[in-house]
Amino acid sequence: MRPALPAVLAGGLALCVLLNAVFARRPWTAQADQVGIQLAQDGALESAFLFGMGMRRLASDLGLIRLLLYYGGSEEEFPGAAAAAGHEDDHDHDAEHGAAGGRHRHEYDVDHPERSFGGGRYPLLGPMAMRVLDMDPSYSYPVLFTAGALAFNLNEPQKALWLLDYAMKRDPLNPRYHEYVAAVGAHRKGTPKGVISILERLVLDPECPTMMKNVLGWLYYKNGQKAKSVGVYREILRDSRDQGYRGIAQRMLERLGG
Amino acid sequence: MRAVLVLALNSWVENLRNRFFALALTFAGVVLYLSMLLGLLACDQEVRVLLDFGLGFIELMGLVGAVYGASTVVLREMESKTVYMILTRPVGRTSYLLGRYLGLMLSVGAAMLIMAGAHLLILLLKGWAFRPDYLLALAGAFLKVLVTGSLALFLALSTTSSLSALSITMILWSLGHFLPEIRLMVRRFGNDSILIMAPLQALSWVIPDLQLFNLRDKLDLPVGMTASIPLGSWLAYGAGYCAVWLLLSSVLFKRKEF
Amino acid sequence: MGEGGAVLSFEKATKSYVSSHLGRTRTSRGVCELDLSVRRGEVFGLLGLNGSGKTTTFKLALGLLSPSSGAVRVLGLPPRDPGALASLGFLPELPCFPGFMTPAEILRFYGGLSGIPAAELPGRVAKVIERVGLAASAGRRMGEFSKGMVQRVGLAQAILHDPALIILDEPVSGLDPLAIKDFRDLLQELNSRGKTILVSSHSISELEKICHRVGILKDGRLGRLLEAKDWARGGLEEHFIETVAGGAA
Repeated sequence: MRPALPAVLAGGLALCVLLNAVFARRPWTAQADQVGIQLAQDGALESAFLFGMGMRRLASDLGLIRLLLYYGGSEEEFPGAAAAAGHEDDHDHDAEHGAAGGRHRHEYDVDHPERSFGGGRYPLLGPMAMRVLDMDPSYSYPVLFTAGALAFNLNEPQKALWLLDYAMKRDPLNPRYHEYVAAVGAHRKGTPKGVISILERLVLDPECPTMMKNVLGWLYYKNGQKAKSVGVYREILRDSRDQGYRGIAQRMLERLGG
Repeated sequence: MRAVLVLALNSWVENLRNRFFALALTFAGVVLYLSMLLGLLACDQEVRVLLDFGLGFIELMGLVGAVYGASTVVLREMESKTVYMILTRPVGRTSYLLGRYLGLMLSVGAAMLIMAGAHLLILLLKGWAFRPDYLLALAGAFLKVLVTGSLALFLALSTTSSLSALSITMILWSLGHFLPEIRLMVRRFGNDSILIMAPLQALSWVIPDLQLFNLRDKLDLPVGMTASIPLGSWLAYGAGYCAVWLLLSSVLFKRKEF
Repeated sequence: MGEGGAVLSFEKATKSYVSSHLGRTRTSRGVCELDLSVRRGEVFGLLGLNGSGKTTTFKLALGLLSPSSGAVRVLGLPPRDPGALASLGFLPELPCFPGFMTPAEILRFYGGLSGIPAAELPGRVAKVIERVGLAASAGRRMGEFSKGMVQRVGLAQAILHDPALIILDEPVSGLDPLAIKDFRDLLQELNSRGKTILVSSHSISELEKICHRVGILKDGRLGRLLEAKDWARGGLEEHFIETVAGGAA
């Protein structure tokens, strides 16, 4: 006598439960999926849709593209101009070094780190990088790019350090973040040679943003190391896919006669 | 066994000559082209974006082909009474279902391989260094397609409506990717709101954890990390789910009266 | 003329359809206590109004439906037995084939499902295509075929594996007179080789020409069973109208 259909269906579902119990309830790789994703206001629906399609990495890629478009993809012709001139940016310097009463204009809110970045140019840059990291904790490029931009181009090293701190909490074993912290620290101290020695290591990383190579090339140039500067800009022209920085590299090589 | 192979080959030929397949491959080509455009926006991360978009859309195209095919092939043959000319031959009903399912999955798998070939070519031309993990990621995508296709077949037979089967399958596909979040919700709220969370908890035990097959989300891990996945368990989990839904489909179909 | 034992038999076969909607159940009868047998070597016709149970009768014979009570036997076996299925060929009403395939491809497919050895298949396919008069169109795609040609392919797949029993549901539906005659000749030729044929049709004149016996169904029951000599006198149509309009059982 053949079993009733509900009994058969129940049997099938029981087999599914068994499969999940045996196979699916333990992590299979060292890095488990990010759970409890925070969705940014901008693009929340799109991110939720992509998660539902199993495209979390793709969602983080779109987050990066959004970040790059926000930042403009390229910057003023002479990178690190503010850094080379020695903290010419006013309010951020005052805020970070405790001038005029010692109150920091931008204090780090541990519970809501994304609110710490308000004010200044590109105020959403840090939060956007944090959202990308929320979606894919192993994706370091947006953090490195943004930390570099904040520290060396926008002269907001404190914000860079907040971002790196946020990243290190999510991926504590990533050595790149520690190196960037050292580079930003050296930059804050105003020691270009110290920055150079750290950047020389950083640019060897395949994940190093072209922007950091650009910063290194500029620092070599400012410190009179023209041959090394030419070498860096030639490398950018050869390897980089960033049209903005390739243009900068081309102009610098013309200036340097390389 | 011969009947299964004859039916599978027939499905393969039908799908090859079907305009739908040609359209799907053309569409996939267009999407790969679009991903190249998007890659340009990602500058340094062009290759990563190409990799993620390409793998994501290959899987999506495979999913669409498998779910559409599984939701319609048997129902269409029942409506047109073509199935009469098959079932009035010494062909078991299970063999019929298996043959149609295998033929469909072969076709989808072939289409995914062709798209992957084109995708790999583009990646290699862009300077990406091939990793064997790519093939594992592709295999994971195909496993997802197999599991979801078997589910779609079951739903088509139980609802006798292609549209219902399509819709429910896509919802379950989406839920299968949200399982880490569902389990988190159950852990957090399960004790406080037992009645509300009970259906969700039951669902979390029954639906397949499609995130486990999402190896393309793990491509950032050090080379060889994905190789540490227990492949036997991974395959057994996917095969187990396919077997359950195909078995249930067979039970339904054997009871079916025409 | 038909001789020998029953190839197909219905023993008090009843088929009820149960449908439920919003808690209310409805039962309708397809066939009711049908007692019928088709003898070896005969051409048996099945007549009846729409809804009289002809389709249900066919589906019971083919194993597409199971009887609610009673029994159906094909060559002494249950209809869904592989041995029974291997011995019968079926042509549904208005068969459907993929438009992009050729008759040869279709027949190879069905021949494979019927268990014809791979080595024999090409030869058998060519022979059957010739037999149904499609040799000249064997390489053309089905999408280019007329109704009559599609029907011929349908018949070809039904006889390819040389079955003992051939069941035809409205085989001449929609065909022109010349095609009808060709079909009739084919069926008579098959019968002359000892094939048992069960055919249903709304065309009474066609059944008159080829059948040895005709069963007239009314409200799911066998209303009347006639032999060729019965309608030689009065015409089959008269018997049919008499039966379905409330005449003698």
